[in-house]
Amino acid sequence: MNSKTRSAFWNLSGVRARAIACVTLFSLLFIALLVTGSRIGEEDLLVSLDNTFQAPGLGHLFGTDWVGRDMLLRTIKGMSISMQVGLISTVLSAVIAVFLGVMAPVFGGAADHLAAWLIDFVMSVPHTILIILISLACGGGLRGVITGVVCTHWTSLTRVIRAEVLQLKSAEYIHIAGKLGRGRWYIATRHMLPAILPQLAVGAVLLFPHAILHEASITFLGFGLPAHEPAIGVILSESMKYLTVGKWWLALFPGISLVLVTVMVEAIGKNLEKLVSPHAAHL
Amino acid sequence: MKRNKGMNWRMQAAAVACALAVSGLAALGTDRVFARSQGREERIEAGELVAAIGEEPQSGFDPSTGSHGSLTRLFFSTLFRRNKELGWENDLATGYEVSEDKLTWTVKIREDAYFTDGSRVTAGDVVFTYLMARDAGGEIDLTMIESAEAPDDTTAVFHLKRAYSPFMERLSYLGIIPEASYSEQFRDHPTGSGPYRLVQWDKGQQIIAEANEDYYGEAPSIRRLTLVFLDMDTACAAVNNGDVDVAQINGLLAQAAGPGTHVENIDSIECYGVAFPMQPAEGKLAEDGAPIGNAVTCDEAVRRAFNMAVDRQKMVDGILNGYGTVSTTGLEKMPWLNEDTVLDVPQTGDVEGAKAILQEAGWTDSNGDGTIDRDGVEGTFRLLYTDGVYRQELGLEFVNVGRQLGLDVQLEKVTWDTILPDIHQEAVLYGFGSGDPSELFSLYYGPNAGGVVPWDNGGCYVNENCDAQIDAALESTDEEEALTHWKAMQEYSGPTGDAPYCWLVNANHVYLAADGFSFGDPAVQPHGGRIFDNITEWKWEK
Repeated sequence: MNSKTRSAFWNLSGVRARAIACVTLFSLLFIALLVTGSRIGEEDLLVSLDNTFQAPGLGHLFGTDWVGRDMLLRTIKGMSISMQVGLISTVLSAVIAVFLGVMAPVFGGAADHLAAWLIDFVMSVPHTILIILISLACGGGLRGVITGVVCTHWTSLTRVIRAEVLQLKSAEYIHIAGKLGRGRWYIATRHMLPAILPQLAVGAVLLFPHAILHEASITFLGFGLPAHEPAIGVILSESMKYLTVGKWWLALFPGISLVLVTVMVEAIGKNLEKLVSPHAAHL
Repeated sequence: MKRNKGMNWRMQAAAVACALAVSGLAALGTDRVFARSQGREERIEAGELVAAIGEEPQSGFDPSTGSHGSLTRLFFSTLFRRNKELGWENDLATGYEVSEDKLTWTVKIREDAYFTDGSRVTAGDVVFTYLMARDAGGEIDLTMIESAEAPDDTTAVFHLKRAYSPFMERLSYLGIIPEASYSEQFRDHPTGSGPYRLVQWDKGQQIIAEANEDYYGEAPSIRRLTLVFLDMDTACAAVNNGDVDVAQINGLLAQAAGPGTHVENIDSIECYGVAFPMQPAEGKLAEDGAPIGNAVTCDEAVRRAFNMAVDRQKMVDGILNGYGTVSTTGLEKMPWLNEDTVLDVPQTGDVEGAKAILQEAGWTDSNGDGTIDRDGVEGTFRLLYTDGVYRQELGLEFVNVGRQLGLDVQLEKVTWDTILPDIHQEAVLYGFGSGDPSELFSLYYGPNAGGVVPWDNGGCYVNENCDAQIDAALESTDEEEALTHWKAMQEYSGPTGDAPYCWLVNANHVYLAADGFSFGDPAVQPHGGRIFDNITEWKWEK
């Protein structure tokens, strides 16, 4: 590699280079947060009644809460719990999206109509309300939240994939495969699936910020994760009780962290899109 | 499509950020950027008060459906009432007699009491109220009444099925209602003979009451009382900005008192404690099918260890913000407390001593997993708590203490519905303190275990000696004699006995009030509060 290309790569002037750097950096951050969070156990979040309501400072960067727990640790723990919920929901939603998005157009006819109708139906109901209803119906808790989020978040990705697959259906190589006697299942899994993988990856990553924000908001409203779980929504709703007393750090830092993580994942998704989409790559 | 969604989430994120920023600023600026509203001045002139105290009575004011707690005092009169020394005084009654066999109670009532509809309160109304409430099976247990009659307008006679010494207490809970105007709509449009009459009730928002001109007792100084129903922190802010004059808060919010307000700190017998399942887990079932027993907490050593290790003063300082006192018996401040059963508080908070108790009983970490165990039983159990002031914090500290002892306590939030399958097999954080000795019957009487009311003796404590003392207390011929039995039973039910509870703290009732407002001289507050008991003493001091 000559020095010119190297510098061109490392000074991040190229769109691709910048995108790669961005995706790598943020993904590492994401994984680091997830791992750190899951390593924080109950023994790190012990009550310390001599230490309550410490304002942010060197000892406690995010301050301490009303029973003396370190807010930085709680925030990381809470974020990682919410991120895990988000990840599970995203993966499950993506599975549904792939299944419906590929199968509907491939089998066509009534199946396609049904899938399109289902998408319209779910999308026509406001997300938050639907999640609350489903979560309540499933008895709340972790299962309730994940079911709620999954049941509402598969739609937009399904639409994208379905459109993608519809386009593929008219592609010549698909027709040829059909003429060569390949069955629908073979075509769907061997020809369609690889073609939509990039879209799927980007779509799933972009779905994550929705999932995590919705989880946090319905937990905040009290319909999601139970109050004894240190999830970010729980932390935020608890902090409301102490805002009037002027303990602003209880809400501010966890809130900012939530926003930052969602922005970060959105950035991963956008940059991934640039990388996989041939059109964007040559900008 | 995707671009659209992108906008959507971006807006959400922005909204979250804005909300945080706004609430953060609001918090910083509760520093009284609000101008003091003119409203309060006018209210003081007119003798009006806006209070955010207590919860809206969901089931209305019909004595057949609910007890509507302390609010009873506002609109109704009762036959007797607790005085400030937790003794008895007459309200509607002028006196009473109990027959030799303790089965007939004759109550004389005053002649000068009128309902707000103008009709006189007669003994017939008293009898009607009691029999109706008994037959409806409401929240107040009146099943001991065999029959009742009113031989004349001022005499009500109650015949009991069995001798029941705390019957006085039953005669002081129920607000008397007029037989003539009782109907389906009564719950929303109550008529009583209390110091106030209901003017307007906007469901979910407020109750407006005006002083009852015909009230036989001391005329209230507050002429018009508006009760608003707000979240505690909203109410606290509303007092600071002048919209509300007095609000119930907790110890932590007390530091939010702004200029022109002061904190009213009222002694209470509102006591929080952890009830341990007392029986071994042997597959026994309660009446409703819930399993009874816990293999860890059935060991007295575990219960004693907790009682010894919990640093109650630390809880008072750190959780109640100093607005409360330590409690080791759940009965501090009550006349029927057996002083000999009180744990010496300087000795509690002794983790090493507690560890020694556990070790002596055979609890060691034999498998090296960080949790002590004995005979293959791991030292772990759940602690269930419900929504309420201080409860989560007390539970967290209890878990903390457990960890120091090598016991793994899992804190779990439940509701009073979802708790039912576990109520007899896991530790439960309760708030008690009715200001009446008959509560000892509810909490510790063996035959109550696993019965129709799950939280009566929820831990299923059974000790024949204790039960015998409770029986003797209930059948006593006078309160004095009952008292000796109530005290004797605590030798078994107290922390020095079988320790079925680990009592933690007495939480004072804390109010944030505008300067100039005074509750007068309120009594010691029981669980749930009794702040309206001396409503006629509430006043604006000019």
